[in-house]
Amino acid sequence: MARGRFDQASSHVQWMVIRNTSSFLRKRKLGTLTTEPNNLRNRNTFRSNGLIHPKVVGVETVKDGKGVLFTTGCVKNIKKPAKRFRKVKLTKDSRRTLTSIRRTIRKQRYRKDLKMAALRRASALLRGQRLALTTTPPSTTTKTSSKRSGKNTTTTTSS
Amino acid sequence: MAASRPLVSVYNEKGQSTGNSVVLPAVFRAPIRTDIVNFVHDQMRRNKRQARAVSDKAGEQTSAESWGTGRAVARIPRVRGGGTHRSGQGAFGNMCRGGRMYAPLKVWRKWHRKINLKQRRYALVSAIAASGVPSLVLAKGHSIETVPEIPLVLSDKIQDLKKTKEAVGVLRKIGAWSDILKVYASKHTRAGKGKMRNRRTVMKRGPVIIYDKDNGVKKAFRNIPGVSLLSVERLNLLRLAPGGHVGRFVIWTESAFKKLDALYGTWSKKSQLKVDFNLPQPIMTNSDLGRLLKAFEIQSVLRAPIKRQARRKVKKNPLKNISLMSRLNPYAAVQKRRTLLQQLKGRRTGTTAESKIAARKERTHASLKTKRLSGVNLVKKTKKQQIGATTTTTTTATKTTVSTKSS
Repeated sequence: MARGRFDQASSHVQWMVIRNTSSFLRKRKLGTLTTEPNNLRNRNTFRSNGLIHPKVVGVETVKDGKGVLFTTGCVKNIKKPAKRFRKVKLTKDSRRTLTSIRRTIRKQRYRKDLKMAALRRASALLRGQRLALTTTPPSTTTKTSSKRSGKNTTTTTSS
Repeated sequence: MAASRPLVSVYNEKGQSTGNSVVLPAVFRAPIRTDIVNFVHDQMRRNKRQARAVSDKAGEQTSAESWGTGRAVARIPRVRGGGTHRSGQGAFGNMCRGGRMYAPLKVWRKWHRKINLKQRRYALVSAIAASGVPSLVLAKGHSIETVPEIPLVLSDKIQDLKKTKEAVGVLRKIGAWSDILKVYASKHTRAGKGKMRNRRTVMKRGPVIIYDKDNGVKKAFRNIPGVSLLSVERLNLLRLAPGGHVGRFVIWTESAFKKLDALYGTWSKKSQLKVDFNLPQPIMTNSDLGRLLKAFEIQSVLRAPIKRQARRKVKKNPLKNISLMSRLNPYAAVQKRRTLLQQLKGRRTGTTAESKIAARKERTHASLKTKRLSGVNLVKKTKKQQIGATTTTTTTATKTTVSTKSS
């Protein structure tokens, strides 16, 4: 992160603002979750928050299609929302998708702490897509499975 | 102040970057104090209230008097006279039907709040600073994913717009339209009596347009749902931090943006347009905790981290816990295995200790029985048996072969 760029609004300060007050927060009995875009676990924690950090990893499904959208945050363009994220469509088989995610994170040393979370989320989303294909009813299943966090899907959709 | 003040590009009405750029005003580096914003917002919100009260005559327009005791009724004042339902009913009390309320509302309630000038300005400054942080604007709920830059500065041509159609076109081109669409989607009927009090629909807030000179901006933008208009010279916290939460999406015009330094000052220069005001000093010059913790000055004084903490160990009993026993006495495992095997064998062939004891018992019983029947002195026999028993016990400790001989 560039020195002095966010003197008073470092990610820690932003976290103190966001942690309890955010339009993405969902507080429920089973715990607090967030729906912000690049949060791999949808957990409301400093590390996994998708808004605060300049380096951010996101995995979402490709809308109406196969594959996964792998997002990384561009550090240069924190202030330019239109250019902030680098999105890559990974539409090959799951093995290739997962390796490309793994390698991007590992080789670039880009948020290594999020590597497993990214992989789990990607595999859960891909699994949902595969299951959606086998159970013939139309694409609504893919969308709902992509909304839930990775870990939940793996336990619930054990058909 | 070690705050870096980068250049912010100015965009034209078509959403393209013009060549110009402005240095980020120092306000955007001010400390973001949501607690102050919340407090000041709370106080400010009370200032638009209109007095309301209950008529002071309400419930008092009777000449009711209590009947006292001895009449088998409660002692509240009752209405005099007769010939109507009302006579004899309770009056005056807050618990009575048609009585006055508890603590009737008075007009002279303190409706408005005075807020210290410094606090007001601090809050405003924090709100402006927060509007320059994209994550806070996103967290507030605005869709700014397609906006070219935050803070968003448009050329002064915006101030000359006359038609709402053009205004809409501008918002579309700069990527702010998705925020307006959100506003459209959020329109719903108000819950509560406000419905019938001319406050029927409620909707979200969209972007604020902050201008320097109104040459038609206000009229052009004001009919677009969600949009607020503000003049730089008269910024309103209630519009910059609606709901008491910082991070509203702000669209500045170039001259408005340039005026911010004159209005709020930089730390090295006081404000020119406000009397005796300079930006508030932050408590930490460097708020990046991550960097601070990694800094040499701190790291050199820390002790090594305890990665593996020695926790309280539950003491287990070796006599019951085989793995612990074999850790203390490796031969114990061997012994145990052997006895187990013996037991297994003995269970089939009757050579285990239990089976031997059982067999011996049977023999003594049998011989005692025969002796009794034959009328021999039993005492002697028991002694013999005891001697015999001892010999058998010693032999059982060693090898199986010996005990078989004796029995």
